[in-house]
Amino acid sequence: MTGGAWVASALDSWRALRALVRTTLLFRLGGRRAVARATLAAVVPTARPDALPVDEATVWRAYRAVRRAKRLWPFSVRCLQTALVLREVLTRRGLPAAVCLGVRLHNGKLEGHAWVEVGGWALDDARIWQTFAALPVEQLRTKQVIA
Amino acid sequence: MTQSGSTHLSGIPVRVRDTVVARPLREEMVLLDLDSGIYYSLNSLGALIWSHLVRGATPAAIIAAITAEYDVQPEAAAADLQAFVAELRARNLVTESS
Repeated sequence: MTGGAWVASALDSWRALRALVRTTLLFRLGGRRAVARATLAAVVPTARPDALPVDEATVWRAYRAVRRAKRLWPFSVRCLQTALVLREVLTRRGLPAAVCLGVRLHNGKLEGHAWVEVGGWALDDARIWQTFAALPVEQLRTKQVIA
Repeated sequence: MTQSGSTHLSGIPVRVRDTVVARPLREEMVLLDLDSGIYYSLNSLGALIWSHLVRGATPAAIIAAITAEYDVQPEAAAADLQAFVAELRARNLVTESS
């Protein structure tokens, strides 16, 4: 790893840890509505004017940084929290990442899952996103364009 | 209920709230309200009504769809529709159609 890549990786890890702190507080103290509001905002890829073209190395570096941060984190981190954290790290890198939500029926029970998509990549720590039917959050994206 | 050949039910049509997303799953319909963070699962009748509501179907069209799919009288279908929409309203999943 070059010096520049090492610095970028360390910065991503730091951002991931910070996002883990913030989202842990959100999930534990914020209540369901606050989590829902954060999720609603996160299904929108941040259409910043300075959004960068999606670069594979940057995407996977952010993904690995979040995995590292989760290993250091003493609390359990579920899929939605992971997705919110990863989206934040990618967005801070200027990439238009969005949280995706899916559902499936498993043994008669409704299950939900969350993962991140950016530039055609589906990033899912649990690697099970393909077993879920994606909810059509695109309709929310068209209604919530970030200026 | 039937007025001049058209079926009228109070509070219908309705508009699905912007923060609600839906997806058919087998014979059910799954709704997620991203305002409250609550998932809902509709059975096949609920899924049928929902799919018509989102298209802005009239109560008469929805009742016709129910009676075509299920062996029920229009009066019973209208009652089911009214009760279902009342439940959607109570859960804040739909609003008045503008």
